[in-house]
Amino acid sequence: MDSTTPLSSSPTPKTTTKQENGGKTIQKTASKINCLSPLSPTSPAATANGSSSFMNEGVDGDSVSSTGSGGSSSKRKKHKFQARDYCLVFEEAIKDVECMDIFKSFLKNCSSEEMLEFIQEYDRYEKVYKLKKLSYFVSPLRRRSITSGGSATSGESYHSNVTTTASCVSNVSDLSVDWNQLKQGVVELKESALSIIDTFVSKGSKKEINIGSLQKQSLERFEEINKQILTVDLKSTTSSSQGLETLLNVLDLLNPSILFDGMALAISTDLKFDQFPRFVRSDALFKFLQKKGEKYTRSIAINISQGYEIDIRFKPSDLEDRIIDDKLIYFGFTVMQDTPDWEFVKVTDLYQLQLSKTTYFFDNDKKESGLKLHKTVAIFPFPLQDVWNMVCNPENHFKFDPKGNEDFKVRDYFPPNDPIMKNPYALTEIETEPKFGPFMKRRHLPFILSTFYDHGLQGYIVICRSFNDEPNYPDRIHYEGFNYSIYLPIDDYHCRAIFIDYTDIKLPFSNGTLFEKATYKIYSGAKIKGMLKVMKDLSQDGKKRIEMVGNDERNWNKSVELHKELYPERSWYNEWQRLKKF
Amino acid sequence: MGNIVVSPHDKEGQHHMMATPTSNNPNGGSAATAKNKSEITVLLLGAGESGKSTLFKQVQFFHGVGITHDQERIELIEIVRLNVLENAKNLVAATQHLNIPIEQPENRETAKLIINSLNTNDLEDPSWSKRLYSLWKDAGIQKAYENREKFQLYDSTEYLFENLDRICSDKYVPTVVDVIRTRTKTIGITDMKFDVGDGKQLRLVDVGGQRNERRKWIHFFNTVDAVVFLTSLSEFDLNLYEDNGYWRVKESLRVFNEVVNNALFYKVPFVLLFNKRDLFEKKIATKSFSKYFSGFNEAEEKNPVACIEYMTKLFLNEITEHPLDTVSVKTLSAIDHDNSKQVFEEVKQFIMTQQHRE
Repeated sequence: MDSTTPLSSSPTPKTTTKQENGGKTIQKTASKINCLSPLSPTSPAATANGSSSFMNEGVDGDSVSSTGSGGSSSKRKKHKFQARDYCLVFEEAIKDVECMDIFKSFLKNCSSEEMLEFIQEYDRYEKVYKLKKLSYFVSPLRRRSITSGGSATSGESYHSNVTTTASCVSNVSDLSVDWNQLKQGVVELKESALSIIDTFVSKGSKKEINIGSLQKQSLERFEEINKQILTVDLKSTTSSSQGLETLLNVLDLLNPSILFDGMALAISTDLKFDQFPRFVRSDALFKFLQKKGEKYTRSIAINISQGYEIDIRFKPSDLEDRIIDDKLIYFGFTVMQDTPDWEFVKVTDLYQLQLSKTTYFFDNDKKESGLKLHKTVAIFPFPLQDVWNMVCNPENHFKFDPKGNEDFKVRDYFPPNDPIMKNPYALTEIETEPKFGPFMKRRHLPFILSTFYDHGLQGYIVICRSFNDEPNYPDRIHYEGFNYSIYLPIDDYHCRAIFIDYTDIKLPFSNGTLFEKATYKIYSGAKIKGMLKVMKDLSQDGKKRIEMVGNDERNWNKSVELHKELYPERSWYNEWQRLKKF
Repeated sequence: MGNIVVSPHDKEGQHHMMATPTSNNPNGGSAATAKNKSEITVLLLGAGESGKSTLFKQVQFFHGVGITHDQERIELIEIVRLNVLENAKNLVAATQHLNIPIEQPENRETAKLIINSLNTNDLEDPSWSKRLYSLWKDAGIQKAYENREKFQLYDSTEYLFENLDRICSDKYVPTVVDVIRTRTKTIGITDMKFDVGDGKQLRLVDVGGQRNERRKWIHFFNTVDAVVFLTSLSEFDLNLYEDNGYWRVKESLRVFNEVVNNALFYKVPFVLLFNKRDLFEKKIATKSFSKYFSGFNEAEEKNPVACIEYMTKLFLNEITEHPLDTVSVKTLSAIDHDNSKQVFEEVKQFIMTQQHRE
């Protein structure tokens, strides 16, 4: 527990410079602190021993090497990929063909390959079923009207997408269903279903699956299908309304989520909890992953060498949510960690810009397309509260970051636990349309943000994220990603600010990281210098405190206060630390 | 049996609670070693829910195998909570089938959520501890529980509900007892090896027990050195999971008959373990034993020793081929750590002595 509050135990300040000494001295102090520290410990061990590297860096001068501002990527040891550091993620692994082949041969050795085979057959059948069912109706529009006319199956079913077509008989006649096509389709589906039943479900079948009473139920349902189909004259080439109704009914019964109700779920649960955990630890898997390498491994597995829920990963669809939750807050701490992947792009007395190629998406496309991780760490010779008061005033943003705030608009605000948004935390919805260069299209940048005071860190956290925004502007480029700012006290007169961007700003030639680096260098350099200048102006070169002024239009201060009230004494950082040590 | 949690980080991956198969080819692996007899393969057999995996887990624990990986612990948390949910679901479903209304309106509300939307992650919230416990204590649910022989329910139901305050918390760490008490249906085959002295290793093989799992047993029959057959004493009023109209005792006797009289086992030592003695003793106190066995003297039905003696006869009567002097019969409470340890030690000794006799 003690190591989870790193800042309360921060060593005494390295400088005793008084505020009234003025800006000049402060400048010096800043560079002095910076010289003591390349802001990141050079040994990966610092992260491994559980203390948070990104929080303490630079404060504790003793532990820091003397490389000074020259500390660079070349000094870092290239890390070696160890498949044993990784743990497969069931939901991702099951989608990967190669990995499933290894799993299959593993299951064969444990005499339980039938489970995976069933899941795969089920998936195949489900796909065919959906396709076929769609094709019997004239248009999706028509289909929708049928669905709404009929009654949805009861909430008891786990598969809510099931609709009973046959119960809207009155509508059947309006449909231009091709009798012969339907007949042929139902027969084909029945044959496919029969093959699954014969292989996996029938008592004593070759690959009979272990599913208890579901087995009997499924067999009874199939019996019902057989019975109903017998009443239809399949030789007839013209439809009778009776025959049509029966066939549509049979079609519904052939729905995999009715015919094999609960089976796919039961079997994947068994697989997940019985055999998969063994597979995850098997030599066969580790050998395979080691051979395939890190990139492949990261596409289906998470690194657990530091703890289980530290390597948080996203699916592309996660980028679309309009929510800020604990997972996202924790993710910020995770990406902020000092890993050997960070490459120094620019190091100055005031700030350091780092770039990491680590991806946090499972999906291969996303990894290729370039969500990039940028980190800027700056030390401001001002007390934390002054820095916070400055950034809470929206007016100042136009001064220190004019580009990022172009066409800035606050669209909306949602208090915590809004009944419609179901957001745990206060959300402010904002839109900007920055233009990064003269020849570039405008970036369309709608995002939501929320702010927090973390009692463990004793600092402020600002989280912004993109979401799926309608309508999209065709002439503008949609941005997606996450953005974190953390403001932490170093001592009574210094504050560290860490800015993390995990975004794809979709620059032209974005594969050319040179261009991207250059753009980022200019952008973040200007922003940090801008912030420092604003603070110097407001404090009259450090002669007076910076007050909380302005209309708090972006709700930074308001949200912090609301969250303090709702969650007094809460520390997301400590929660994350506990996850890490778990 | 305290709240022991074995926790040191174990990078080498040597001792996992979730055993990994020790050889890639279950047949080939021991066939080779069968010749020099440095490895003794012991099969745990028996119908579904007879306690094979529970005994297997106990043996793992007293051979120093613990919950060593964070990842394992998280999986175990999910398994325990899944057990809670399944138990709750089964109970709620049973109230519907048996037409017993859940009495309190707020418990009915909870029941609805359990059936429709509750998942294991939700149980991290301590408020669920109160809600689920209140549901458990509902007169309707308790009445269904008293009639639990009429539907499928795990043995651990009561234990799990009584420990909800620990389980429904974001700080929950599964204990050894929790792990012993939770049920996962075994599918396929799992094994573990440990030294038994004299340079010999014992390879214990756990298998699934339901009907369709049993056809997989045959893979092992020709390489086996001893069979431990488990049967549950407390199943006398229960029907099968895979066939809810079939009496479990009948099934156990049938499976026992097939196994014990199999020509391949003719020469191997055979142990019959009557498991769940603890549950059995509780059960006969309130339920009639003689109702299920016409040949049993009703006057003796509250006497566990007499009942067990009767069951023993019933099983031994099935033996037509196997030499009786290589059959040993014992009772067991597999959920009890000390009892498991003692019984398994006796089983091991019996097997080793039989091996020497050869």
